[in-house]
Amino acid sequence: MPILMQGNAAIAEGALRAGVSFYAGYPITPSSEVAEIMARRLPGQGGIYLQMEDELASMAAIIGASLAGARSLTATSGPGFSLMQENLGMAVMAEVPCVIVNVQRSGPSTGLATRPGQGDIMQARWGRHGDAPIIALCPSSVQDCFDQTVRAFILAEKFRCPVVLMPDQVVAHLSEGLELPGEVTRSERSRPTCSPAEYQPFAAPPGEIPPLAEYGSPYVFHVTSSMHDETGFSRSDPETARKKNLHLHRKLHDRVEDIAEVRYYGPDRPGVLVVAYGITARAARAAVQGDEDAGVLELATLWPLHERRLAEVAGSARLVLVPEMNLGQMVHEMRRIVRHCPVHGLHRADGEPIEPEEIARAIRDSGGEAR
Amino acid sequence: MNGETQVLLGGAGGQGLVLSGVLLAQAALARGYHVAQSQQYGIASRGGFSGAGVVISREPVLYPLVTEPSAVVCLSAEALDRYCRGLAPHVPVVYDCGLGKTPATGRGRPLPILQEARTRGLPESANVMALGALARYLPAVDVDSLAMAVQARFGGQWRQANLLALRAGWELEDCHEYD
Repeated sequence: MPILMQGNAAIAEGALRAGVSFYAGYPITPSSEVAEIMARRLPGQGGIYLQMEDELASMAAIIGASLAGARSLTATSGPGFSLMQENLGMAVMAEVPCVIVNVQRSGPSTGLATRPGQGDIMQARWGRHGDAPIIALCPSSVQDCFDQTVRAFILAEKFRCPVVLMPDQVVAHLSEGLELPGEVTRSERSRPTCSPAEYQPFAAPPGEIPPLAEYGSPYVFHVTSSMHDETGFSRSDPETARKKNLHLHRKLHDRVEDIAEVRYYGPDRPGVLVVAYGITARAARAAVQGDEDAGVLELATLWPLHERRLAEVAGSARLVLVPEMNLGQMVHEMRRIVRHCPVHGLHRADGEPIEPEEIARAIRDSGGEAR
Repeated sequence: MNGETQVLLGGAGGQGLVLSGVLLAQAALARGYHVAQSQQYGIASRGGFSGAGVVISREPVLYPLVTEPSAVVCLSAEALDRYCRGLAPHVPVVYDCGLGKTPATGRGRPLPILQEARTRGLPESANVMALGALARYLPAVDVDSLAMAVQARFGGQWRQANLLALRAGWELEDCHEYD
């Protein structure tokens, strides 16, 4: 029997089942329920809840807690996500596993605090200086909020990197039936097996993830946000920088098939392919229901993009349509990946979700290309 | 969408219409339906507009927001303005008759909900009373399934108050004679 639960509550529940032991945050609409539930539940389970002075400190705190061995989490929305970017970059550079929930609201700036948006897609990928690749997931239902939160903790540990979960406000504040599994697969951190004297916190064969010791353990190690070699100490020569940057990039992009989840709904060879994510993916699925020529490709993972799979599904299309609650973000990626047919955007940035009828109309209005 | 019941419940922030939506969704879920309950509110914690949408279906709900309402509840004039545009003539609009306004479209069902809640000493439970009245128009739920949702949600004095309000609303709609 499913239980009625809100998206934000499902994220909190997923995090608790996944073994989260540390939360630091600064509550902000429309993500505050995550903080509220963590404040109520974590201390009773031996975990720590810290209400921070701002989002810069929140991000710093979850990095420190993770290095001390905790599974750590924060939740925020647009304005707070902007403030987290600098330390998010540090988590990338220092290869610190952590999970950040960014409930997307309508912007820019403080914008419309209670209304949905999907305007943080490019910020999630490029919001930090330097290349700084990360993993970003995007749930489209309450069940998905739970499942993808569990997965976020697994990916964070497996790839030693921050993972951002990016529900839009509609999904985060939606209540639906949720099937809670008896138990969930928990993330396992890879620990060093060498002696403390031999431990190098950033040493691993190419393509592999170095084991991470805990602060407070016999493994004493140095972490810096500046360029560093395998020992963790700063080095500024070009070869060290080249190796480190390539490692950060390749550990995610060479393993994209293990990370990126792409969901396709529709006929085998769609003439019209709608590429969407979050609440917009559900509008798209409703829009093409019963259409034998149109399919929906849902990006359950936003970054890294599974480019090969996207090109493959789009191969038969005469038109690719990308509806999103912004003035054009993911559509540019689709234009880069899909070259053989037109890629149209359908954009809305007024704080209102895109309805199925708008997508259905865009397919009809595309006329010759679509039919 | 086909075979779906879609309900809008609107009022002023603090009246509890989002909670009414949650109770409705809970009752329908318990009866084996697929449900999706959404909410719409402003930045003020009290006052201003606040509303909920509930989609109830035998099939998994693809798009979870209300696009074609099959029933509407309004406890504020602003809710009447927002939610009663372009409704089909048969769509019932359960609304408070003291708002000084009538729905522009749909089939109006004016009821003295706010006054009745005050008279019975249950002013905080007008939202649940409205839900009881609405239930007359929703085949997916009845007063008993809603009562179970109320019991699961509330303890102490609020459980009793809301159970009274729920049944009062159900009877209010039953006894009321429309012009």
